[in-house]
Amino acid sequence: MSVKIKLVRVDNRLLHATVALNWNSFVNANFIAVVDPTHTDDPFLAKVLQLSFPKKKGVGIFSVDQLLEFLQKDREEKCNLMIIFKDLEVLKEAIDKGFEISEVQLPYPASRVMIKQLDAYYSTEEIEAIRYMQTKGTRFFLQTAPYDSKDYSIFKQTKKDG
Amino acid sequence: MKLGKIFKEFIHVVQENPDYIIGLLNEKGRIVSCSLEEKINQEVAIHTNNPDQRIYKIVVSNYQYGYLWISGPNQAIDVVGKLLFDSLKTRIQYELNQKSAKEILSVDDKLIKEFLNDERSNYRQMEELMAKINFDRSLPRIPIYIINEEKFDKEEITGLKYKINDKNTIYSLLEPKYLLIYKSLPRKLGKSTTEYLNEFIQEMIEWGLSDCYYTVGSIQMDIDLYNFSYRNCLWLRENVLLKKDKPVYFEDQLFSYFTMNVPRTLTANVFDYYKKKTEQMDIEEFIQVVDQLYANDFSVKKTSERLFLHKNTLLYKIKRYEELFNLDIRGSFQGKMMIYSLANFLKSQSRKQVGEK
Repeated sequence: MSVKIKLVRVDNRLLHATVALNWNSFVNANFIAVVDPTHTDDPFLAKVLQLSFPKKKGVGIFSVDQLLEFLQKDREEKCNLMIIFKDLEVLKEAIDKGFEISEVQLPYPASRVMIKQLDAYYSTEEIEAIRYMQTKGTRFFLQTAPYDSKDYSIFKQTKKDG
Repeated sequence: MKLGKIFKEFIHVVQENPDYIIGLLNEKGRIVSCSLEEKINQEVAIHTNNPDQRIYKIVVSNYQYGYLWISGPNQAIDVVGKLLFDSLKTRIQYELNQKSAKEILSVDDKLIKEFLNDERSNYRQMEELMAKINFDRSLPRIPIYIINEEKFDKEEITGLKYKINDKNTIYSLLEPKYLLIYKSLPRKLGKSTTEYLNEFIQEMIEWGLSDCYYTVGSIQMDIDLYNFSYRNCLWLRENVLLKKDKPVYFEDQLFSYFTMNVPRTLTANVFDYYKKKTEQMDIEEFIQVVDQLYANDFSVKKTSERLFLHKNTLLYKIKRYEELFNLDIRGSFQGKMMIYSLANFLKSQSRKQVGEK
């Protein structure tokens, strides 16, 4: 049985277990992969993070390569996966290494009604990474909580960024 | 929720790292559970300035569960402390959510059991159950019966409450393989009911209820008719060819439902002449062809695609039926109805159910 990716999110609060709690039931994920190369050598942190959920719901901290290996692995149990990337740079690295994903969620960087342009919230490097990944077929949308609607508009703006 | 049991899991993890000690304090600062057993019952100053210690007030859903006390090396205590605190709060919230979902589901279960009770005797209990979940009985509802040949994962079905997030939509796992949802419909839809339900069912499939059969009964406002609408779903299961993840609607099968519920002696008399003629053909194939013609508005092109037949092959079969029964199937509305009624009559004589080989 292969892995089914239920949600991909970029969130720098990735070790913030509440993010996972808010989403895992809503998308029906039974494994949460946190992709943060800076914490992969710390099994203690991974174990503490796992404590946020009963053991039936797995949690793991991965590097990009470990994630790709995890995705390839064939398994007997159903694996509905939610992936939280540390930042856009790590997501870009994964896409460059062959990770294919049609949609990526980001939390609203400001109040929904106040939302402006990309350069008000993201650095030039981050915008470049977004544009690059869009050319690879990945769509981005803003959504903080499960019952918010998906907002693709800010990433579709054609005005010159930055 | 058993906080002590959850905290023991935290203790086991922290005990693997001798740099840290964690304790659960009561509101007075007394240690009630700890990774270092000899510390239990000792008192800790809640407002400490000790650089090697952190104390976090555990408040979840406006309820205080005491304090989390952590002792460890100063350089990493903030990262580890916050992570432990966050994980503990999240876990408590998770367990509370599960408990609440299970409580609501237990009411859903009881209420649906009452709806499906053929001998409705306990109206009072039904009223009490409806009051418990603020069930708005003025809303129309439609039953969606989902069949999973493997069997549903009970815990996963509990999680469905978060996805549906509508107190007026209730559901119950009637048996390990059968899930019944009474989906509430908004008073103003803004689109067709089928369109609305197709979107809902598609969301269910994407959420995880895939590889299932879906039958949808009749819309009802009166709770006394919920049992009838559930039986519509069962009728579909028994009489219509179902495909995985493709909902079948009772309202699309009304003609078939009515014709099949006409007393058999009557239909047997009406179709006696035609039945004798069917001895010259493959009845199963005839039923399949007519079912698909009906489902595709008698379009030869669409039906041939569905049946994976060449258009001319299908036309040949239709012409054969027309000659055999002396009916105009392609041109006349009456001929179409006649052939469909005949197919239903023959079907009622050789019923097949889902999963039957």
